[in-house]
Order: sequence, then structure tokens, then C-alpha cells
Amino acid sequence: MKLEDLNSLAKAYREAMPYLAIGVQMAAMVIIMFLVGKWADEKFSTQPWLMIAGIIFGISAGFYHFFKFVTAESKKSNTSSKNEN
Amino acid sequence: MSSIIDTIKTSSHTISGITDTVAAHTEHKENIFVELLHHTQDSPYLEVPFGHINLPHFPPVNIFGIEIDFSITKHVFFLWVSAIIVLFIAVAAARKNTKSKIPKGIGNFIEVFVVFIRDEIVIPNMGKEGVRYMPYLLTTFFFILIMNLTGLVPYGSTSTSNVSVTAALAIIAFVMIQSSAIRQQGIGHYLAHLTGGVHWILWPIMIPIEVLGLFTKPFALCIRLFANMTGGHIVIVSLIGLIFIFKTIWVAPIPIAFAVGINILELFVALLQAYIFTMLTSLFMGLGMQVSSSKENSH
Repeated sequence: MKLEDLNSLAKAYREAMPYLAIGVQMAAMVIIMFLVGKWADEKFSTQPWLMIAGIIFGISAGFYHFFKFVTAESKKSNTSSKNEN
Repeated sequence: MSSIIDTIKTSSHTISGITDTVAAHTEHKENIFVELLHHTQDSPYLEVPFGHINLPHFPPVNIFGIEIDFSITKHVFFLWVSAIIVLFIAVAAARKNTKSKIPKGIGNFIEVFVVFIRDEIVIPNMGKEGVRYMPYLLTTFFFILIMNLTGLVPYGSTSTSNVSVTAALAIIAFVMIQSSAIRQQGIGHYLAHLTGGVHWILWPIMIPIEVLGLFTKPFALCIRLFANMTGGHIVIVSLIGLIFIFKTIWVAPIPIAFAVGINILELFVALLQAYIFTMLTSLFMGLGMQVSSSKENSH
């Protein structure tokens, strides 16, 4: 593999990776809040309410970060394409 | 918190749980396959040609009510081996490059990677100020790369296929991401950023959401590296295991051919995962650093 090929592959990954990462982060938020809720439930013996609250919080946080990221990225790409034109 | 860690640990051991159930169901039939699958996991002994070497076992230490087992396992051993290899390579390359102006041999080889990380990762993501954090990112890259590659050596094992190792790397990444952001923005600006710029009535909702966002990035880094490295090994072991399930030598060429293919893919994945971990860490550090620079420009 030539060095230019490797550089273009690295560039492709650099540009695509934030979008690939955001999906995993959204899932991670739900999982983390689920685990925290489950742990808190066991500690205060309030099954299953804190777990449900945790999941709802995780989902809303995941969506918030997802949309925040996507709108920021699309704004950035719009301005950069305008500058190029 | 300890039970959360326990839950994560138990989920990482689900593989062993699955293999146990498989063993219980099929008894003596696929025992060899189950034994092969155990090779992808941590063990208290080293595998050497013609047998095992038992590693030292220490009694668990009690720290703040949490029992921690500091015994040396296969993954810990290979973690140290990788650290020593990285140290030797880096020192040799540095010595060679300071001696002569024109890099040759190992010095030249390492310089290709260093220049690649500087030009393709650090400067595009973090700008010129990011060069300050190059030592950390270079260490992460080479350490993860060597750890990934030790699993592809016969009798070797991949430390990064242990969730504790990747979690430790992610914690270091978390500290670096936050400290670089605080250093660049100042503590006041950093805390103001956590409120998300909304009315103060919404702060009780916004602050936990923003704080959660800080923790999920390293969490995703940790799980990505762990899953990629474990997954590849399980695929190879499963392919080799097919020979033992069919119990005939005539089926061997196909799994071997596929396993060789997957092994070559694993070589690429080892490099790619080291690159992705380093790249995402620098990207997250850059995000924290750019917030301040864009605001300074607008003022």
C-alpha cells in the first residue's frame, strides 16, 4: 500500500469517524444510565422505578447530544462549502 | 459504584458463561472448542510450547472496602511486555535520530508514524496548539498498537481484549480531554459550557445531561477497542474450532484459509483501532479546545 493511499484512508476515517462515533455514544448513554439506575434501585430497594427513570434520562440525553452534534456538524459543513464556492 | 463495575465485569465474562452452558449441554462433544474459546480470555498462566507457566498469585488486597486482586495474569504480563517493547523502540529511535541528521533504519520507520500522527491526526483536529499534547497521543498510539499486535504472535495474548485495560486507557483519555479543555478555556468558561447556554431554570436538567455527555465519549472508546479486539480473536478461534467440530482433516483447508484471511484482517484492525483510539481522543480534545478559539474569534 502506498503512503498516499494510507493518507487518503486516514482522511476518510477522520471525516467519517465522528458520525460513526455518535451512534455508539447514544447507545452508551442509555446503557450507562440503565446501569446507574439498576445500581441505585438495588441500593434504595425501589425496583424498578429508578431504572426506568435512568433509561428515560439516558434516551433523552442521547437524543439531545445526537441532535446537538448533527446540527453543529451540518452548520460547519455548510459554512465550509460556502467558503469553497 | 462498585456494583456497576461488577455488572460490567460480569457482562465481560458472559462469554465464559456462554461457553460453560455450551459445555454443560454438549458435555464431551465440543470440549476442545470450548477450551479453544478459553484461550481468548484472561488466565493465571502463560501458554508456552509443551505446557503452561503458572504466574504468581497474591491474596486480594482490601482498599476502601473493595477487594482488588493484584495477581499477575496473562494479560498483565503482556501489558508489561508491550510497555517494555514500546520503551525500547522509542529509546532506540530517539537515540538514532539525534545521532544523525538523516534518519535511517528504526529511526526512519518510527518517524513515518510520528509525522503521520502529527500531520493527519493532531494538526487537523486540534490545530497548532495540539502539538503540545503529541507525547501523550504518540504514547497511546504505540502502546495500543503493540498491545494489539502481541495477540497475533504465537502463544501471545492481546491485553486490549480485556475490558479493564481499555477502561484504564479510557480513564487516562478522559483526564486528558478534560484537562486540555480546562487549560485552554479556563475553569469559569469550562463550567459555563456545561450549562449548555440555556436559561438558569433549565440548569438542573441541562447540567446532568452535559456531564453525562462527558463520560460517554471515553466509555464508547473503551467498549470500541475491547469489542474489536475480542471479536477478531473469537472469529479466528471459531474458524479453527470448526475442524474439531467436524472431526475430520479433510475440512481443514477451508477454515485454515479463512483464518489466515482473518489474521491478515486482524493485522489491519490492530493498526486501525490504535489509529481510531488516538484520532478520537485528539478529536474530543480538539472539540474542547476549539470552543474557546471560535468564541475568541467572534468577539
